[in-house]
Amino acid sequence: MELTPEQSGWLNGDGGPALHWAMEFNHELGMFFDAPHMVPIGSAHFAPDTRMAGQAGMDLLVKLVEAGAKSMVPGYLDPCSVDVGRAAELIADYGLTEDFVTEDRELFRLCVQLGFLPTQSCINYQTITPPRFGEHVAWGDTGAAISANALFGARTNFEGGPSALASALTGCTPAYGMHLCENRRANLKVKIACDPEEIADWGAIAAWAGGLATGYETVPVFYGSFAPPSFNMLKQLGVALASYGGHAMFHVVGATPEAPSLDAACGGAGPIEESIIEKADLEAVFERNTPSSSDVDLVVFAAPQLSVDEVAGIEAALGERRVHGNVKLIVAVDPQVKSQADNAGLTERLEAQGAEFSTGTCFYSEAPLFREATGWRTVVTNSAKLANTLASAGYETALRRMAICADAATMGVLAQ
Amino acid sequence: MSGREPALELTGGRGLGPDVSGPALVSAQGFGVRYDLSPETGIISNKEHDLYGQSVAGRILVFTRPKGGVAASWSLAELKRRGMAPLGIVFQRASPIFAQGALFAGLSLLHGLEDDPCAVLQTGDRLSLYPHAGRIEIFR
Repeated sequence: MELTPEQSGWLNGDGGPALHWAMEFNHELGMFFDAPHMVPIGSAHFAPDTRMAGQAGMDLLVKLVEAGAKSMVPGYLDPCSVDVGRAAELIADYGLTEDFVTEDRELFRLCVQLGFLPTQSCINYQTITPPRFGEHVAWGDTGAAISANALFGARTNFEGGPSALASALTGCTPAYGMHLCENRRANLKVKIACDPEEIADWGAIAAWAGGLATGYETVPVFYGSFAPPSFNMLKQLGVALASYGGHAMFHVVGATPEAPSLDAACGGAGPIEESIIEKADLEAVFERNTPSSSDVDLVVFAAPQLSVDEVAGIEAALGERRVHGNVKLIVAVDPQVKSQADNAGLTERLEAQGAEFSTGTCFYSEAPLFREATGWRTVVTNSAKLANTLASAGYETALRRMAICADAATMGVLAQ
Repeated sequence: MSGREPALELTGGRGLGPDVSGPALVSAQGFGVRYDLSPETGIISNKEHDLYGQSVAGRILVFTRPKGGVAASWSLAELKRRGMAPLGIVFQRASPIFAQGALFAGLSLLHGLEDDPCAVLQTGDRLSLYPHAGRIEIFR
C-alpha cells in the first residue's frame, strides 16, 4: 500500500501514540481490502454508541484524549443514547440506569475533547453541512453514509466507531469500497410500477428491495414513471436500504446525482437482471408489519432523525387532536432541529397535544433498554428502518403511512 | 490440531487476525450485532435466527452475509474484554464494518473462500483458521 512520507512516519510512531494507533488501524484495514493508497477526507462522522462501545470503547477514547489527539477535519457526532435534558425522567420512568447515563455523558465529553462538534445528528448532511459531490468523507452512521453516497455523490464507506476515529485523527481513509468508481455503479435494477407518495412508501420499497440481494456490494437503481421523491423520501429510502439490505449506495434515475439516466447509473455494466415492484408488493410490506394486538403503546417518528419540515408534517397530520392517554408519541430530532422547532412554535404546540421530543437521540439504540421497565410492546411508525431495528429488539412493530400513524396516536388503537 | 490430518480444507480466502482453532457454530443465515445478538450476554437473541439461544463465546461463527452498521464495529471488542467473544468469524463475504470490528477486537475474520463455508462446514466441526493464508482446516 502506497503511503505519503507523512503517513509512513505516523505508522512508524513518529507522530506519537494516537497517530500511530490511527494510522496502523487504517493501514491494516486498507491492506485487507487491497486499497492502493489513502484518500484525504473532508469530514468525519463518529458514532460513539454507549451500549455497543462499552468499556472497550471508553478505554480507547480515554487513551486517545490522554495522548492529546485531535480530529484533523470537521467532525460530527452521531446521536447519543440519552436525551440529557430528560435524564432524570429516563431513569425514573424508562428504566435507564444512572451508570448508563453517566457513561453516555462521559463518552460525549471525550468526543468533544477529541475535537468533534456536539451535533448529536444522524442527518448532519441536512441540518449542518452537506458533503460536496465527489468529496471523500469518513462517515459512521450507515444512514448518514448511504445518504452522502447516494443523495450527494460524496464518497464514504460505512465507518464504524474505531475507523471513523482513525480517519478523523489522520485526515485520511483507505481507498476501497465506495471510494472507487467501479463499486458505485448499479448492479440491481428495480422498476417501480406503483405510485409511492410518502416516506413510508419509500421505506417499504427499500424493505422489499433490500430482500432481493443483501450485501455491501449490491447497488440498486430505481426507475420507472412515478412522481419524483422529495429529499425526505430519499433519506428514508437510503436508511432503510442500509438496514434491510446492508447497502451503502443506490440510485434513483432522475433524482440522484450519479443517475441522470439508467445507463449512466449502471455505468456501462453488462446485462443486469430486472425486478419489478408493483402495488401489491408494496401493500404486502405494510401487511407483513402488523402486530398481534391493535392496542398501541408507542408511535415513534425517528430513524433517521426528523428535519423541521417533517416535524411540521406531524402537526399537520394530528390537526387539533390530542395524543391518547395510553400512547406515547415520540419525535426524535437533533439539537439543531429542536432549536428550529422551538423557534417555529412547533415544540410548544406539539407538546401541548401530548407529543414528546427526544433530542439528540434516535430512539432505537436505547429502545431495548426501555422495554423491561415500561412494558411497551406495540410500536407504530412510518419509518421502515425503525420497524426493522425495533422488531429485533423484541417490539411488535407496525409500519404505516402518516395518516394511520396519527390516527393510532390519537385513538390508541391501530386501524385494521 | 497437530498429529491429525484435516478431513477437509477451504482455501482462497482473505482474512485478518491471528491463527485460531475452535468449534464451529454454523448458520444458514446472515448476522448483525444490533439485529441478532444481545451485547450484554453474547447470546443470539433474535427469535427468527437459526442460531437463536446459542452463545457465541469461544466459537468460530460461520454466516452468509453481514448485516447492520456501527454496532459490530464496537461490540466485538467489548465482548472480548468480558470473555464472551467468538474466536473468529467466517462470512461468505464480509463487510467493512465487520472487518473494522474484528480488527479493533483483535479477532480473526475470513471471507471470500473458493467454496461456500455455510454449505461445507457443520456445527461441531473443529476448525483451524489461518486468516493470512486465507485457509481453514476442518476436523470432524
